Amino acid sequence: MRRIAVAAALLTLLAACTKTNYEFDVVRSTLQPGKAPPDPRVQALIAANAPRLQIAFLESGLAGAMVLEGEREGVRTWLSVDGASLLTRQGLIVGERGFGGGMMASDVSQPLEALFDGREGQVLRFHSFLNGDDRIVTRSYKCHIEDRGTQEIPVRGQPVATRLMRETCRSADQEFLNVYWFSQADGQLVQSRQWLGDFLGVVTLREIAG
Amino acid sequence: MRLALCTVLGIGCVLLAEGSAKAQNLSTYGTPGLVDMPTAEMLPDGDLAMTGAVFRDTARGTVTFQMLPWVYGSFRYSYLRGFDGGGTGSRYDRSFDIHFRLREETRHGPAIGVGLRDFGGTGVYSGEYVVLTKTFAERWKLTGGMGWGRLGERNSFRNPLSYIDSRFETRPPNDFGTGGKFSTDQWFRGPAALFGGVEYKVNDQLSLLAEYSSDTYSTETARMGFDADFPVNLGLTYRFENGANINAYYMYGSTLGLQFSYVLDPRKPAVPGGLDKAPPMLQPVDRVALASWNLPGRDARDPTLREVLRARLEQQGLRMVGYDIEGGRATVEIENGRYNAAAQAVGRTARIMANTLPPEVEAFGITLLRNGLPITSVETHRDALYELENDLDGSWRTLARSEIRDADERPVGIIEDAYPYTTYRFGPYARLSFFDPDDPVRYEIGAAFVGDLILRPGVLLSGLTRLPFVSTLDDTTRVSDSVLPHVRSDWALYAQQSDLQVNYLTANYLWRPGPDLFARFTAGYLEEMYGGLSAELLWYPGDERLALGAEVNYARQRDFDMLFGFQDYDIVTGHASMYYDFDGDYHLRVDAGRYLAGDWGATFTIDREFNNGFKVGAFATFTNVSSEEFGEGSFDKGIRFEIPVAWLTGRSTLPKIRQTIRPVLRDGGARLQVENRLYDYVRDERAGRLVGQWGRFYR
Repeated sequence: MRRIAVAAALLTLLAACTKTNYEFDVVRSTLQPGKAPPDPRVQALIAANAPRLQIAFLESGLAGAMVLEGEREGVRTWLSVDGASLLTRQGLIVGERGFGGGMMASDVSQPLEALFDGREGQVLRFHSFLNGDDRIVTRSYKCHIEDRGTQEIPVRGQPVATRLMRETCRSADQEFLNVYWFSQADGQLVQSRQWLGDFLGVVTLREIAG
Repeated sequence: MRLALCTVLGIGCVLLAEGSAKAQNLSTYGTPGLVDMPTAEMLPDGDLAMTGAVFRDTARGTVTFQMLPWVYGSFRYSYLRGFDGGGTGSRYDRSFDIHFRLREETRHGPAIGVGLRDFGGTGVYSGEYVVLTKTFAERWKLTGGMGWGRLGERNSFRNPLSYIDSRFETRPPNDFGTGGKFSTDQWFRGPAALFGGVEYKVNDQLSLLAEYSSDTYSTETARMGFDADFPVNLGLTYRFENGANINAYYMYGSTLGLQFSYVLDPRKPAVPGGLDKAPPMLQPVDRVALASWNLPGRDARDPTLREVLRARLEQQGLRMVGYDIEGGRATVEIENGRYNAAAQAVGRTARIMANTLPPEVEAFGITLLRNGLPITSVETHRDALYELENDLDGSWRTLARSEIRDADERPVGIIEDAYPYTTYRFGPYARLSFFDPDDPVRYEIGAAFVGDLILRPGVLLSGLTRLPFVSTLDDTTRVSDSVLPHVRSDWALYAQQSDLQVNYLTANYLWRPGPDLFARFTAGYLEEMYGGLSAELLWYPGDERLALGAEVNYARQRDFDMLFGFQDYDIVTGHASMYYDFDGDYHLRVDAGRYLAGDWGATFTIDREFNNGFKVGAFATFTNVSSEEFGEGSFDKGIRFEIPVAWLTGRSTLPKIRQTIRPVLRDGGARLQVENRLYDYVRDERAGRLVGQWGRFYR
């Protein structure tokens, strides 16, 4: 139903020559998701060998590498090939643009502290989302952090000893589970599985060298 | 009713009102109900339900809109094969329904509703009812009610209301005439009958329906040989997760029925957060300082800086037409060519200014223009952006630290080569006309060229030309029988006698005569049927709910070939307009004045405009033309929809799909359609909408 409406709208309103090719790109990326032309910003960063982040969305099956656009005041911005971005703070997701879920910002100071200290217990985290009516809704989540012991995971073909931390969160009407693997050697977050909101679900992340 | 868990802080404490008569099923009439009978249920507030139902010799297409939490209204287009001409002709019937909730369902008491079906049409479906619905054990919904008119036919009894007033005892016959009048002299009159039924919810997808119908289909039986002797209807409904429903029925012991419906929530577009490419991140201030154009010794007035800024904005679909830098403050003027939420255009501009301009420039002034007409200015600060870009409540805190004001004073620094400027689009177009008296859908498909040439700020030449390839608009054999001047009713002649159409071709001047004031002057071929002159003045304070406008036009009717010639008819027409924003997405507009046929009166338009731009509305025009002079329909009225294309695609674009459904287009209450009417021209970039969509500032 909606797909027919979309196709009709696009054909009648957008399939046209205009002075810029933006509208043409919109048509192409709507009808053929995943085939959008690579963003020139991203190409420049790839050429400069910027650090990469491997991500995979569990629900949609979309996967790929993102490249670091930059870091300011502890927040890193990663860009996907088609120009969407993911924002992280010490490896924890704090926002997203262009993937469609609308996670605008987050306060993850409490889980960050507990996770990096390897401390179990109750913490609070906060996320704000842009909803479909262009309003921002902020949700608070009560989370329980547990130390699940050690686990050996392969990183670039090499086994790495990690400590596995699990964070179970719930709000009035949402529930999710985040999992983190910290390297035992240097305490760094090497791999994680995090929730990005109802629309996008769960994403797995792993930082890889550029 | 269940109270959901609250979080420790009490944020996000939600009341989940389960089982409180929220409609699970739509009837063949496209309203919350069983098979043919209504229930007292409501749709979720703001939802839009589209239903198509077919059974023997009958098809019904209905759009139902839950206008308020306690009121829904429907527009229906029905096809009755063999209804007219002794079984040889078919009837296309248009009808409107309205339903009010009188009482919400509670733990011990039922929901109660009262409704009017086909309250203003030609009366084929006219009937009224009072209905009660109660949920039992979460799975059973029992409904019982009393109907009048068509719903009061089977085993009818004396109207209980007639014990109060004997006028209720008899129902005057349907006039089946011109229709369009409220048939108040029939409502709740004549014999009444009881109806009832049950819905059993097997699981979240499947429900079973059974009802006892008080409708005997007496007219259809007499005219079409319909058989409704058996009073019971059975059905099942299957719900898909995406909001679609399929229903199958066994009706009146004589026919099978099939129905498809789709319920849409305008607040839920294809993609909630949007798929736009991410805005550039705010670069650390030391990196900004290191840019070659910001190195010590460079002058902030160096054109390189301006050109870098301009190019970066251009990449985001923002055209910079004015630029000034003075001490610690920079001002830019922006034409937003991409973002349907103006706040998003402002946010991206602010980011690019912060990333490009030297760090000592701390205050950013951003003025939104449309074809050189300044609309609104936003003043924000570099510090606020750095501090709040990743703040949990960043958008609103940024708004609190910004200033939004009317943009009536122009800054210095118009970029020399910003004008003249052209925009154009060449491509296919489709034009649809729904539900006219003879055909459910008429269409025209062809190629269109639309272009604007902006000579200098506010001065533009604007044109639209179309070449239809396929059209059924001109298939109509109706000849206007209007006794008024044929100001609109000859529309078919325009379709028939034109090939290449010049839809409009105008010269415009738009300017700001003072604070909160906008003005427009237009001359040329104003619209498809009229050419002439048009002048308009609008008073639109940015932060108030009320706006007032006035427009006066001299219009002369164009030739049917839609080229450059004129006919003899001419008129001075104009309106005074009032626009008012109510709480909760409602918007009222009243236009009073003289219409094209020389009639005097007023048009009332009420829209529900969701914050994301999705709009559903209805309008009606009352003039000193009598309903006899007006002809079929009695007065001009209709419903309209406006859907941003971005709502469907998730990617920011300015175009909107607009569709008006008007039962009949006639000559009374007809208004001139001038392009660039000021209110709609500036509204999306005035403070009200800008603040409403401010959540998209950092998107």
